[in-house]
Amino acid sequence: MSSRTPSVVHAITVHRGSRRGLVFSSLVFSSLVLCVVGCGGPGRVTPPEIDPAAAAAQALSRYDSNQDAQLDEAELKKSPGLQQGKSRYDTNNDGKLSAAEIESRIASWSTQQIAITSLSCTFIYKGAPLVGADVLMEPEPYLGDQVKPAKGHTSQDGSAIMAIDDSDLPKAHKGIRGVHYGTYKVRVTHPSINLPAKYNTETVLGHEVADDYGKPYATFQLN
Amino acid sequence: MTTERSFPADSRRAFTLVELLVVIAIIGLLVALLLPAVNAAREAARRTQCMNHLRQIGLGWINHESAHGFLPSSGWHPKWVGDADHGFGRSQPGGWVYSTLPYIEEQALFDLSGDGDPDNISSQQKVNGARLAQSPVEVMNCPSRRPAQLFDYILPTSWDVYNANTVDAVVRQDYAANSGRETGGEQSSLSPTSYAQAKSFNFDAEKGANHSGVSFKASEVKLKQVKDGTTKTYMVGEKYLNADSYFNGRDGADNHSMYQGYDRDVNRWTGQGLLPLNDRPGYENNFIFGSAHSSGWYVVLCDASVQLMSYDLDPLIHERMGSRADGEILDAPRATAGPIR
Repeated sequence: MSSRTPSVVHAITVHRGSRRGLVFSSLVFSSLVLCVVGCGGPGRVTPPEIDPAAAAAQALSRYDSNQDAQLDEAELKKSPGLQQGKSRYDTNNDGKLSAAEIESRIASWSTQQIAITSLSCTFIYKGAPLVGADVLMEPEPYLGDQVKPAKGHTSQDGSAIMAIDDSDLPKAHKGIRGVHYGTYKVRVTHPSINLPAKYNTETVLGHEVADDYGKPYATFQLN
Repeated sequence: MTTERSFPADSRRAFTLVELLVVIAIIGLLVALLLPAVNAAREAARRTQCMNHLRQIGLGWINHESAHGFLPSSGWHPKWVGDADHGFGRSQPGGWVYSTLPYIEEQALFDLSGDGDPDNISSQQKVNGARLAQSPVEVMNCPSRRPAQLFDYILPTSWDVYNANTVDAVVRQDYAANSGRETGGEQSSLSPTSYAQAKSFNFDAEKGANHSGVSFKASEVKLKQVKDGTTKTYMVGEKYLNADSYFNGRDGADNHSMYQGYDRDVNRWTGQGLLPLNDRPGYENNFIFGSAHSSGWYVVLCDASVQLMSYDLDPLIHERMGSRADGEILDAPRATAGPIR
C-alpha cells in the first residue's frame, strides 16, 4: 500500500510536460467558456461617455457671461436644451443653475445604462400637424462629441421618429433607431413652408432626453 | 523508495499528470463541441413553444371575432384594467389580453375582475382588479425571454389604475397587438376617469383611435375590414424589449400589468422605417416589434397562421403588413420557407 502511493506524487512533481498540459487544457476550457458566452444575442449598446463634472464646467464657461458661477434665465437662452429642462435641474429652486446641479443631473442619466432610446417628436404648426418637415436634434456642445445628433422627417400626423445616423453607430448595431440621453437644440426646416428663424437657425426649441423625461414622445407647438 | 524504482516497467504504474490532462482536455474539447448544439436545440424548443403561444392567441382572436363580429379591442388607457361587467369591444376598458381570455380557456380569470356592478367602481372591484393584475397566463410569455410570473411594479402613484388597487408586482406579456403604421401611441391621449364619463366619451377624437392596424384604442375592427387580405396583415407579434429590463419593470413600455388598456406596453406599430429587432441590452425602443430569438420574430397573421419573420425586412413591406387596408397586396419574405400552420 505505502509503496504504491508515492509513485503518483512522483509523477506529479517530476514530470516536465505537466506545464504544457496545463496550458493546453486551460486553452480548451477558455475556448469553451468563450463559446458559451459568445453564443448569445447581439451585444450591449454602450452609452456615450460624458464626464459630468467636465460637462458642467463647460456649460458654465460657455454661457455664464456675468461670471457669477450660476446660469440665470437670460444666460440659459443661449442653451435651449438646458433652458427647457431648467425645473428638473434646479434642485434648490433658486431659479438659477449651478455647476453642481448640472453635474448631478448629467450623472443621473447613466444610472440605468440605457444607451439609446426611441423618440417620436410631434410638431404642431399653427394648430395643425406639420407634415414633411426635416428635424435635427443637435446635442448641446458642452456635452462633448460622444453624444450624437439625431435626424427625423415628419409624417402625416406631424410626428418624426428621431434617429442617430448609421455612421455614428457601432458596427454591430447599425439600423437601430433612437437618440442618446442628453440635452438638445431642435431645428426644424420645411421644403415649402418658410418657418421662422427661431425654429431653425436661431432656434429656441430645446429638448432633454432622460430616464424621467422627454421619451418616447415630445410635442412642439410652433406658430 | 529504491524498492519502488526497481519495479519492472510493465507492472501497475500510475497515470502521469500529462496523460490525465490530455484526457481531461479531450473531454473538454468534446463538451465544447457539444454545448452549442445542446443550447441550439434548447432554443429551438423554446422557439417552438413561443410559436405555439402565438398560435393559441391567434385562434383566440379569430374565435373572438366569430363570437362578437370584431377582433379584440385594445381598450381605453393604461390606467384601466379589464372589467368583466363591461363585455367586449368599445365598452371594455381592459386591453386585448383581457378580451382574449375567454377564448384561450381562461373564462374564470376573465370573470374574476367583475363586481356585478357595471356603473360604479366598488372597493370589491378594486380588490378583484388587483387579483387579476397578478394572475399569470402561460401563453402570454415567450419562454426564450421570461416565464409567466410576477414582475416588479415601480410606477409612481400618478399611474394608479382607476379600477384596481396598486400592487408591488404584476404580470406582463411578451406579445403586442398590431396597431398599424402610426407611431402616435398613447401620448397625450385622454381616457374617461369613471364609468359614468365613459358613456359620453368621444374615443374617436383621441390619439390612438382609428389607427390602420387591427386593434387600437377602443377599436372594433371586423375581419372584413382587413381588406389587404388576412394572410397579408399582422395580427399579434412579439414585442421588442431592452434585454436589461426583462424583470425590473423599468422599461417605459413594460411597466403596467398586461390586462391594461391601450398603450405601447401591449400595442406596437410598423411605420416610419421602424423595423423589428433582436432584443439587446442598453437599447430601449417602445414602438417596435422584436424578439429574444436571434433567428427572427414570430407574428400571427389575421388568418391565424404563425410566421417566423426575418429581421431583414424591407421597411415598406413591414409597414404595409401592419396596415389592414392600404390597398397594397404583397407578401413579405419569411425567415423560413413556407408558412407554419
